[in-house]
Amino acid sequence: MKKRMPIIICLIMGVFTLIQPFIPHPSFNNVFKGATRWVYVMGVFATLIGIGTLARLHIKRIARKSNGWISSIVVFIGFFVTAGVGIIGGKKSDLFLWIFNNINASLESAMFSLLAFFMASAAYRAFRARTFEATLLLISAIVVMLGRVPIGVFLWQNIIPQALVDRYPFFPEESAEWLMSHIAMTSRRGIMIGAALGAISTSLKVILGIERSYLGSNE
Amino acid sequence: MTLIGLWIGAALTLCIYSFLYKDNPFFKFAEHLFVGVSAGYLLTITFHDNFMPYIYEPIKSIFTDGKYGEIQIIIPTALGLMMFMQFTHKYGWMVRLPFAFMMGYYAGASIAPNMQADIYEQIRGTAMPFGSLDSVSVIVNAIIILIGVICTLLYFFFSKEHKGILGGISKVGIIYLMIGFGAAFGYTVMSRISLLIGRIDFLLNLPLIRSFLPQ
Amino acid sequence: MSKLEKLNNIDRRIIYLIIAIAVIVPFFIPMGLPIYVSPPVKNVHEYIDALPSGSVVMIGFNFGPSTMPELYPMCVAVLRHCYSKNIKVIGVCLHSEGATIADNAMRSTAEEYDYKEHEDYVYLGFKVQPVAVILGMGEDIAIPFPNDYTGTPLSKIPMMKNIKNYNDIELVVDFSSGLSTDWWILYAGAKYHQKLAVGCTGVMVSGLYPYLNTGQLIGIIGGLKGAAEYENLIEQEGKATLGMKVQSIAHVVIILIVIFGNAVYILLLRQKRREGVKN
Repeated sequence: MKKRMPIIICLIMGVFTLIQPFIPHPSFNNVFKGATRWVYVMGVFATLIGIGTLARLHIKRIARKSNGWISSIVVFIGFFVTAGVGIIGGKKSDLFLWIFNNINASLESAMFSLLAFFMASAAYRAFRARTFEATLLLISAIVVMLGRVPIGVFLWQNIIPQALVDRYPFFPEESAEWLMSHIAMTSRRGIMIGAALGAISTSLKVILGIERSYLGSNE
Repeated sequence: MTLIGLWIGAALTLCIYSFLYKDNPFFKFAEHLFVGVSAGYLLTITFHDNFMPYIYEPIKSIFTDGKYGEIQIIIPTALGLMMFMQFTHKYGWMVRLPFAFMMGYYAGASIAPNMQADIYEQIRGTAMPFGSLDSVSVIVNAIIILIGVICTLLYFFFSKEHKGILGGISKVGIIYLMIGFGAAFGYTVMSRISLLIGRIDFLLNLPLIRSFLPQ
Repeated sequence: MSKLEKLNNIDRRIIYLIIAIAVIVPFFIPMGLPIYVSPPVKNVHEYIDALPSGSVVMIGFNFGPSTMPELYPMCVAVLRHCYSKNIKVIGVCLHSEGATIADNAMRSTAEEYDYKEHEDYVYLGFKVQPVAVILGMGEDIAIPFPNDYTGTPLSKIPMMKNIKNYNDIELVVDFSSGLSTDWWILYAGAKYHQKLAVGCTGVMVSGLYPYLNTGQLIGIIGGLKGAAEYENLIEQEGKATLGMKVQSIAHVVIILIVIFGNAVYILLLRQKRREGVKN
């Protein structure tokens, strides 16, 4: 019952949503709308579980006084102040928006902007033209990097002989665009088709109960 | 308050950037503050925009407005509450029920769209140019795309060793893939630099800083 | 350690410093660079430009502060374009951190064009379970969004009287930093045949070209450059256009860094081969 019930529920829901697009009967659509509303409700609790799991992790760290437990106190201060202000004062309250714009937004933007530095460092160390394929990768990257910013056209129009510039005034941009829409697109398409076949087979395995990893570690 | 907020934002930005020199308590403080504030923000928005309209108001309307049709909301609410059983040993199995519902819903809903959008349309897009070959460039481009798709797909066919004809086709596939990854890297560089530009623009436009800098 | 080996293993903080200088200094260099408008961006502009007055466009704000530098300028540019064409706009958010950003973008841009909330535009807010939301809107927008962001029931919003689902929406423009684009294409596009355009970060652009090629997307506004191109098309210079000179210099610096790294590597290899031959 504990193992079989979830598999039966998954099978019923999976078959239902699989055949729903092909049955345009109003009653079927109404059941689909109802099921969709149920997913929204359960989704709210799934979000709360995510927050609860985070809280549990940091509570354990504080209770055991593990490495970095003081940082966990900072997490809770940030969490309770923001949530308290937001839930009691409202999502459009001045203080809540102040916290979002000046603390959350600043921190998140700064954190992701670090990637520019790490990317440059990685490009210096790892981006080596060791093989023919690596050289192709490098050349393609340079074509796109120059072609997709205005300086590529600027340099082309000011360095290259005028006759060639007159014939192909926007050559760097157009060549980058051609590379993207013909070669890069093609490789992505191949990957996409393969990934879609994998996704469909996984979905079928989930519906038929062959794939049960979502049921937890006991399965 | 706005000015104080801007300077707090700048100070926190510099705490994050201090990591570039080495890991330090300022960075750890900023990092953990971010985790806490993000979680608090998510809880607030989930409460106001999701919990209230999807759960609280329908259940309230049963008693205040007599909308007895909304009583069906009790079932997914109960299923949702079962998710909290994962924190107990005895009733932990109950968490499987709502997850099974959602997994089945999404698994079934995804099959036809995946087939349509990611397989059928992509094959159609590969074959379509051959329907109107009106110039040399169109023909060449169509052939390049067709060869690329076939070779890339066959590169990922690992049931047979990549030798002979299949080996040659795979090598062509690798060429397409490497050019594709290079193009993706080029765009990644653009993207990452853009994020840094945004932050530097914020720092350089701070009220007191702006007055000292050349315009 | 030889000089070449030291250069090959250069302290990463020196590279960080070079990048910081490459990004900060161009802010103070006056530079006018031509902006070439690429076909994917032009397609989005032309499609919206051709929409008759009173058409409805849905805009998805599916990004957070982390990708605001890329996506916010293009959002604002598209909103300005829609508002200037008297197009009705419905805003939705499927990314929790975009909820406040979206409200700010729609409201502040509407003020420039004297657009009235609930009559000319409506912002529906953030909902969890994005795939189910996209599927639900295909049947009835009121299923995932019983109220708008201000808590007003959809039935009481004048603009939403004749808008039930995707059949009443001319175009969905999704501004996304993640998976929401794929979901719109799969569920709104494939199942409900909704016309779609995308504004996305640079990282995502190459993965979306197959959809552009098949017509599943009418256009892509990719990265800060895409935002600058759209600003150029609506003839309103914004943050994206101003960022282009910095972007350009930074790209040149990174290319030089990569070329330098490869030159050091090749010289180091030659040195090691010579030492090997000597021994």
